Amino acid sequence: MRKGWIVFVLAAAVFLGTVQATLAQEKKEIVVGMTLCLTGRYAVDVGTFDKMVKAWENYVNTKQGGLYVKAYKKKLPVRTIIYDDKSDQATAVKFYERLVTVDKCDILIGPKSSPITFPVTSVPEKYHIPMVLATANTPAIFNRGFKWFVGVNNLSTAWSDAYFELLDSEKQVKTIGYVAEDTPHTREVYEGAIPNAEKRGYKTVFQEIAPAGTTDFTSILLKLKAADPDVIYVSSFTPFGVTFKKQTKEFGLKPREWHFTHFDKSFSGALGKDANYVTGEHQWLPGMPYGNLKKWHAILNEAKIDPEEYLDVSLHYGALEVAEVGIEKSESLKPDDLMKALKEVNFVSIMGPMYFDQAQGHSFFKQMAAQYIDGKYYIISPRKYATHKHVYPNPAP
Amino acid sequence: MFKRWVNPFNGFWILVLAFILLLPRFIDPYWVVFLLLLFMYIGIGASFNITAGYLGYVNLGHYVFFGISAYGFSILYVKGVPFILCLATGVLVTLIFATLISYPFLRLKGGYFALANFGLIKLFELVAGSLRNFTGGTQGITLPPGYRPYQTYYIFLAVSLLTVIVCYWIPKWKFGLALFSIREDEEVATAFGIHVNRKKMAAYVLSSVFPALLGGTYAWYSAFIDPEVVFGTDKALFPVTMVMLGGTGTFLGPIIGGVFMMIIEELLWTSTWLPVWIKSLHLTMLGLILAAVGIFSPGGLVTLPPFAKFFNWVGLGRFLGASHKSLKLDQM
Amino acid sequence: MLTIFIQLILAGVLQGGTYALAAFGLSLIFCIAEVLNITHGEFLMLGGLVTYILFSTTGWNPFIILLIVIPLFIFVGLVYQKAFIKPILNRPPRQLFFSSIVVTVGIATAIEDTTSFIWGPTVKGVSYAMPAFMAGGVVISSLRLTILVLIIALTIFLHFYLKKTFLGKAIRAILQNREGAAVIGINVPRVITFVFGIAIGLAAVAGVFYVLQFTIGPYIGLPLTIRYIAIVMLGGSGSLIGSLVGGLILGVAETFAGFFLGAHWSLAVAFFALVMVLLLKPEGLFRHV
Repeated sequence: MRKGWIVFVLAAAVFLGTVQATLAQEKKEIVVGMTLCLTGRYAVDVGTFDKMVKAWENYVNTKQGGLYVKAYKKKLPVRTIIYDDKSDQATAVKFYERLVTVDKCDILIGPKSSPITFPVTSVPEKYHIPMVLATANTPAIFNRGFKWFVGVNNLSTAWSDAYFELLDSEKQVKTIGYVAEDTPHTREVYEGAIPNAEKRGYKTVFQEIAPAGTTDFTSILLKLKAADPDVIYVSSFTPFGVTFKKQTKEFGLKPREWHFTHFDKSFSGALGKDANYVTGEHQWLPGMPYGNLKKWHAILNEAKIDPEEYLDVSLHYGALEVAEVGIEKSESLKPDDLMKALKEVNFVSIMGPMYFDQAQGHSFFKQMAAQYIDGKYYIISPRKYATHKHVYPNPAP
Repeated sequence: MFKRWVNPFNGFWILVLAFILLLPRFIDPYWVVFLLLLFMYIGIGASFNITAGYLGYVNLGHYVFFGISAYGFSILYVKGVPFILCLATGVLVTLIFATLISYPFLRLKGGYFALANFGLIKLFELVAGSLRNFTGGTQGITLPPGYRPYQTYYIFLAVSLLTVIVCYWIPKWKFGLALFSIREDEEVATAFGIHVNRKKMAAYVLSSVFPALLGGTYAWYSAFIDPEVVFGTDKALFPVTMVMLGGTGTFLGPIIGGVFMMIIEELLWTSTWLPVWIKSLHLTMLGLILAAVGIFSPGGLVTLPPFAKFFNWVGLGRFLGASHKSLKLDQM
Repeated sequence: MLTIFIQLILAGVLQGGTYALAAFGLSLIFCIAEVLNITHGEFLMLGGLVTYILFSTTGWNPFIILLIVIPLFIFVGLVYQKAFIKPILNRPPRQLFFSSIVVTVGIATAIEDTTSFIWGPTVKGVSYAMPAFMAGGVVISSLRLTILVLIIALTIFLHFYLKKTFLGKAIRAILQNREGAAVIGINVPRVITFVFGIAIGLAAVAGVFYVLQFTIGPYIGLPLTIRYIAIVMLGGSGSLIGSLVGGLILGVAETFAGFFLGAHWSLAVAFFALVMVLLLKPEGLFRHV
């Protein structure tokens, strides 16, 4: 039994040693922490963003010399820490705890997706470390009265605002049929779009939600064909959208316009010619005139990420921009100062004018409406920086 | 008799217990979360062991008890019912479900049983996603938020300790021996007068209690559940794999399996001395390690000589017992 | 109303046929080797991936690519079995079951992660289309019809293969009585290796059909494997007819439930049907071949 004691004491010592490994250090750098869904089901959307974050870190440290911190009257380098949350809530929460307590981050960037962000937001709220949310846009996240985050995305219910504004100005569409994929995000977009459209006078002739794994849309397509709307509006992610669109061809559905709320290069790649003239939303395309575009392109190039393929990259980058601006604006790196500075941020990021709702914390960013024409994505709304005229009705056979 | 209880050996264990209890005071909250997840997985794994290892009925759908209780808990909690009542209801609902399901399902044999249960998880995921008014559908249920890792740490510790203690005692009781004999040969067991059906049902229902307790508490801890989180099939395989890795049917198996998997994951991901490409492929590494263990170490990690020797040396050899010594593993 | 009915049945049959194809391989493996091959879905994904890669670089007709995929993946199946499954085959049944799960889950995870690492996590599809035609008010997709015809052809081929050729008869003998088969001189381990080759080849073929109709990504394997396991359970393992019928039942249940109850019930009903069948007939619908 003596051996048992020895082993026990050794094990305890090793454990406590590993755990207490971080010692207090003088502030030599700004630590930015986050988790990304590098594996798991959300990896399709953000799988390579760690490269983008590292590219940003690189750029800030080499080309800008770091970020200026008022309290120290000099620039400090930035260090990013990224963990893989495996698209799992519990893992994400675990790592955010680690980022705050072990890695001693000065600022946190939110994870991908609203479901994961939801429980994660209790970490900054408890430890009073500021967090900038990236893609989260579920209204429920923002109306809990939490004080320790801001989010660069707008509420999901406003997703198609730009598109409907376009339709208003053209006055050609009368009826819309809606299909949604049953996931929280796409459902919210759908549930925000329908009342939005109806208020503007567009008649809803069909609406239905289908589970995420649906492989056969016969029932929906039969009903849609009978309803024959001007626009078929599909709120979905790429796999669902592609499967749906492929089957519509078989049923000979010919609306005047197709609208898919998430479409990217995978979508057009899988559909080929059938993706021509499809409209939808994007979050950044060439033609957006805002922000430090030179830096943005440099970082995209280094990370080899194409915003036409990864719709969310502009949001994650936008969060980093907000972090930058907040840090340089803040009196010091102390959490209270930093959080105050973040809330008061008001600048032009590559996403457009960036400022936050003081009560809820979300931004007023608007997704832009885009159309895929002959192999490229063009912005069609807002008109002021549209890169192509909206092609309506759909001329494809 | 008092002397038997108070002796150096038990004193040792009391010290270990005290250490674990006081740990949260001294360490970062991150490690508290790490440990509570570990306890949760051990609890689920050890209770899985009751049906899989002791009874011989591999219940791949074991995780479903976790999910049902989580939902039962959440539906009531958002209505303002106190924590204890919600947890009790969650557990009760799970127990009722387990009892109802056990009779038809336990008629199935071997692989069919395993997979029918697995199908149950998927079924519940889909149903939970569809019954919007009741379960919140795919949007899930948002519970009143709160930051609760410390309380959850203790609750999970208590539950997994309970599970582990029950798993330790079962082989020593007649109940355990009955389970083993059913596992070896059901017909012979019946011939010997064992009420096979009753025992099977008892084991199944008993094994559902612990994940139920964990499920309800987890919902409270994370303040948000949706069908994917509590009925996710990839998550469901995790405790199962963990137990099989550690060694099914053994008492230490789930504990070792859980510790092993979580530590490997932690090491592979957070060690700063590993090159970047290993980190990007950490799941591949984990997968390959799993496969290697599966191929080279049939009884699980517990049977590996290094482990067995280590435990014997430390004087824990008796814990390798249960299925290790009393029944030869190569005939499992 | 009748046209809608026919349409739904047709869609369900088309759907079910694709399911049945991959399921049969899984069922064969389970019955012959008592291994639960959770990696099965990954091979489907890889079959689709190879098709995608070849299609996007060469633009060949996917059905031609199919002819490349089949032998390639039969070979992959043989290698897979030799490397990972063979070492665990000579264990007692329960241990084999456990080990097979651990090993196949491990390999599946590794394949998913490596695929994501090399080709990226985004989904991919093949933009090959065939026109649809109408027949008496019912819409028929030529693409899916072609696929169904191919599946039926493949099934008939397999049926005769199992009945007439030596290997086929050996497989059936092992399914009926393993020890007896060994006694009369059948080289059981070798037959098992071949079975894996065939099964993985079938999974890859299903993958080709899959990528033509839907999209593939590194992480689709596991959910698909679960669906196929459901079909295997439903149809009765080891039975060719069983897998086909099981797949058809699942497919038709999905489409009908989707139409009458609303799309979000379609999958749930299918799984419910599975559980019901299992409870009523624990061995599945059909016994061994």
